[in-house]
Amino acid sequence: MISTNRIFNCYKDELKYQIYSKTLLLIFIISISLAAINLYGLVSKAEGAYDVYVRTYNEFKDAGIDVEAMLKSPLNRDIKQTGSDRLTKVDNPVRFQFEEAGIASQLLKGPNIITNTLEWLDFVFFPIIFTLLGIHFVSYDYKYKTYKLKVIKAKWNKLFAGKLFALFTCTFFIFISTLIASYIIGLYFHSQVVNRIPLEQFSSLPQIDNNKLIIQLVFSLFICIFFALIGFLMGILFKSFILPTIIFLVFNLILPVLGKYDIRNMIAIISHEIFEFKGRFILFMPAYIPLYQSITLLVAIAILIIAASFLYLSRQGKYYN
Amino acid sequence: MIEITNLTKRYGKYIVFKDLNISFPTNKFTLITGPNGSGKTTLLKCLLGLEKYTGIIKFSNKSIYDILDEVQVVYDNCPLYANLSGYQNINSLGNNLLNQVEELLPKIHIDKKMLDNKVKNMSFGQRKKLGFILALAQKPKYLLLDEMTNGIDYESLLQISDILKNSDQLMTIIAIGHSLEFYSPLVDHLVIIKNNTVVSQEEIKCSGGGLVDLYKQNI
Repeated sequence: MISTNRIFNCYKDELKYQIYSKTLLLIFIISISLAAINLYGLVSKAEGAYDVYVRTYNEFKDAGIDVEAMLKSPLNRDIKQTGSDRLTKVDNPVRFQFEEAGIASQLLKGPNIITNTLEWLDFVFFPIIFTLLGIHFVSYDYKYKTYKLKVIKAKWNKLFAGKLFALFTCTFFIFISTLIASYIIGLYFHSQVVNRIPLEQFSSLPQIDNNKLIIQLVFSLFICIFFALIGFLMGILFKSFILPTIIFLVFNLILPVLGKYDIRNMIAIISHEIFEFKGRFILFMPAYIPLYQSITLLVAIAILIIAASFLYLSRQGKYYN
Repeated sequence: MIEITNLTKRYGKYIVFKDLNISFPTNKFTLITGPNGSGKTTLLKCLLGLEKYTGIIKFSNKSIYDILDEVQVVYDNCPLYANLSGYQNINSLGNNLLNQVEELLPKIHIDKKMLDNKVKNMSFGQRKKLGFILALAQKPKYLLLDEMTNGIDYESLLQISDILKNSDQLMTIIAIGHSLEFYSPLVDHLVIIKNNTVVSQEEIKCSGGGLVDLYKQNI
């Protein structure tokens, strides 16, 4: 009971610091801004796709072709994938542009807003944001040398357990609040799209199937926690903010995917199962490994990271100078 | 009573202490002094459980980890969150003891308004005083002071001295330092460390230059 109380006190102290230092607010603003950029891009995409459709329609009509017949005719696509490049050949450009405009106009509708926000943030921005958050959670007490005070309030394992739970809480809070805010922004943008594009003409098109929303949310939250844990471990190993941040950014943004067991490849394997990438972001095609192997390995890595963090902490000196 | 029995501390092959035995009397003021590099700070780290060692350290027959709530320490460099205000530091490091801290502020010449400032804008002495009252406000049974007098002006030293004088009946205070003139009116028990061992451990209640004489005799 005393142990639980000590962990809870450490947890509360962590949250207080994050609130006072405005870290949560800053990350929330960054996440919302990134989500808003994507949603605004979806508005442009919908408008652009509609313009292209109208232009294509008029061009074919001016050429004396029966465009209404074309619109009713089926569309055949010949897709060729070369590495990450995808070439799509179509036999019915009017119908193709009609469908493209119809899909683009649906991206800001209801739950599709959430899916598109997740597709946009999950694979570049959330990994960076939450890794940096994890590094920050561990490193700020090294920076201010306040571990020396904190390890007198609670034993190191309880102190870091409190930190870890606070990190999970903040990750969850930022994740949920970003999605709620982006949903509200998306609804506003959708109202703008409705004003500019006569959406009723696309009502004959099938609606985007969004029955994987729950699994998308769970997987996205896992990604956030996974990278927060990576940051947590890096913060413990390097005891500073700058160096692990640079190392992670080089790994995530500059180094190519190092093989099928690279975590980015394993994440991509799962992502292609649950996301369709119809919005502005298209994830690279991963090297094949079975889905269950990706899931098992990622969960195992997350558990190993927690174990490694506490093992390393148990071996290092406690006088955090 | 804090009892250290057969304390041995080594860094690799270098032995800092070997079979050290010290007793710190309850509700008394103990000063640990000695030349630079004699191992005073290492002893403090061992007392706080921040270093691995062999031997036994007991606080009233309990391990430090069983009485963490009863221990407070003021470090020489006085770690605080420089990016937060004084009040925010009190809230996040001081277990919600704002009222107790505010009661102590006038005794140590700290204006409440100063606590609105970020710690990075405070002088070293102001930070140290804030760290001191933060520790004191928690009414610990054991108060450890590492080089408490460094960076503090004369008037504040007198105020701190008064506070400590009134507190040493309520808590066991262990101070590490060299300012013998400052500690002279406070000390009940003196421990002198030299060459990584205790060369003198005496029950005293001296005034004036008594401590200086004792120090000269042993060093």
